Amino acid sequence: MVSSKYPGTSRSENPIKPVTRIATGIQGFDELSYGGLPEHRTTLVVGTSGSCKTIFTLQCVWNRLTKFNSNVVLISFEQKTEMLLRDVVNLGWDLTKYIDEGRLFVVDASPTRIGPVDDLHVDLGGLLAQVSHAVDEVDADFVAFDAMGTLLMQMPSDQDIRSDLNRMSEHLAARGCTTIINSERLHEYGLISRYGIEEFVADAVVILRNVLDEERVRRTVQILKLRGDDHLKGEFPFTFGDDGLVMLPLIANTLTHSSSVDRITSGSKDIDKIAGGGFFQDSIILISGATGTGKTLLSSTFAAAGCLAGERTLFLAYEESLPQLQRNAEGWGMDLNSWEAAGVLKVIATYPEALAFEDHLVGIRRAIEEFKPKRLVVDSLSALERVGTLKVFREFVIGLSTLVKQGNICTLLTSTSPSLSGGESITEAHISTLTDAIVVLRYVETGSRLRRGIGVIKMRGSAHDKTVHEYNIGSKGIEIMEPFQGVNGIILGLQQSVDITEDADLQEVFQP
Amino acid sequence: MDGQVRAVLFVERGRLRSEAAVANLAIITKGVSFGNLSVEIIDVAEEPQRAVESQIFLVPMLVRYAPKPEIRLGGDLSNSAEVRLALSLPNPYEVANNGFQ
Repeated sequence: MVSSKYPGTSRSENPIKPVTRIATGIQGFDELSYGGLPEHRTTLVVGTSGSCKTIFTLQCVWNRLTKFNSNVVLISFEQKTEMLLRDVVNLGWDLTKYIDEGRLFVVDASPTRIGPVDDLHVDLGGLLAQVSHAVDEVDADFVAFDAMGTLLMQMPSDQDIRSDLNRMSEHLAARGCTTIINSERLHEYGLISRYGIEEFVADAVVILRNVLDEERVRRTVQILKLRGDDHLKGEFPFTFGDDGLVMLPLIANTLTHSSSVDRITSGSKDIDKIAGGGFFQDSIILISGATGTGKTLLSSTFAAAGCLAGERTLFLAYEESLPQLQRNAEGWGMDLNSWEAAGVLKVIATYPEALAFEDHLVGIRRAIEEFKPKRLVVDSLSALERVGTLKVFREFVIGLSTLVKQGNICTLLTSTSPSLSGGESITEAHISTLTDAIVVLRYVETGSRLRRGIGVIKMRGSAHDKTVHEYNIGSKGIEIMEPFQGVNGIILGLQQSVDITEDADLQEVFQP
Repeated sequence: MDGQVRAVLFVERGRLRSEAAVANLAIITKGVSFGNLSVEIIDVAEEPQRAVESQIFLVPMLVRYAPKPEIRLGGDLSNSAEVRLALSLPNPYEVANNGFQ
């Protein structure tokens, strides 16, 4: 006697079709997974306690309901329905409305009424009946199980869990439902799920992690498997903020950013000249120099040039507050206030340590999306080195450069050299390959005079002046003079005086 | 036996464990007068609404509603002593002795 109430034990009648994806609407996740969750299949989401499993699940539910017109069944195993609904009100997700509309059905499977169970000879038939009933009630095409593990604890053996979950997922697949199950794991690395078997049942496995990395919490997401299809591999950071989870794929799939030949001005005719006619619109420029060499002046000049040309400019200040920036800019005749009022300039001054890298990146992304700048200034990037570990800093820089390349934003980054004579900072070591142009500012000591030298050491796709020029910071800003004579090794920070006359003699010898 | 005993056995017909529970219940209640005892058998696949109302997730599950407190007993009811206790049924040994008197 075989029950025919639940279809789906035989899949053979269905023609074979490639797996399609359904979007989750979670920012970044759909890009990581190349399109979302596999349709009509089961996805398992695992994580330790506090790794945002429930939020991930509920955000999928909310987005499916509001953005993709799905009807949803949600089964809550850990929390009572009302508590679960109340927890997400803060995020602006009013699920109650959809229950009233008959588009969301919540099955309360919180542990209070499951009761003591003789640890043998039970199966999940009751759950299957309830879920099946709920799917009928709201005509659902999306089913979410929150904290499934609590019920599985009552099951007699791993074998039973596996066969029952299989039966459940086959049944839901046959009903045309896409299923997401979240379940607790005990360790960040190691066994995938508590029972070590759920992942065999699922067609896709997503791992959420919550790792303490040098005293800072770092959340990452990893797609472990996605049966029969491709996805981005490895761990990617994500944040949990006011509007739920935001995941950071960091890299665009391919380097397909369009390339532009448009030159834009740096704000100083002299610098444009030594850079071979200005910077490219789609370039990332790194200004590197010791403290006091005029990096902030150069970035303000660059921002001012954008504002004067009516190009929206976003200024991210990590070293100075807004009033400080305004005061200094006023000294050089730039009125940041009026540009801000006119809406061409937006200054965001933050203390680097106030946020984690992921939060900084999410904030920058949001600012870029809202403000749509043509120019971006980060002063200074090296101040952000302090925020976290090197590995994470590198990720941040990659994420930032992907953002600006996608948005075709001309970006100027500044980096403070570790010593007065120059030397390479962490920032430079990690981002030099990502930058399109590098401008170096150096102190030059001749006799007992401290002078300043500027040189363009890299300018992708363009010729540029290869000499090191002396420059002055005056009331009109930066002023570039003749190339240095008689000093060697300025850029390398190993300067040496050379006898000019000797140099001239040599030149003469080799003259034809 | 004092008062009315009311219980429901939730099963999914056609599944081995559920059928075992039904069979075991029949053996345990064989020869028992049903005047004071009512045990209803519900197939959750046929009547999911009853499973929703009673919050049944695992089957087979025997729920004693009266007398209070409610008792839930999961499994195939092969532990007959527990089932008798839950249903306030007399010990079969006593039943046998009563027969001789």
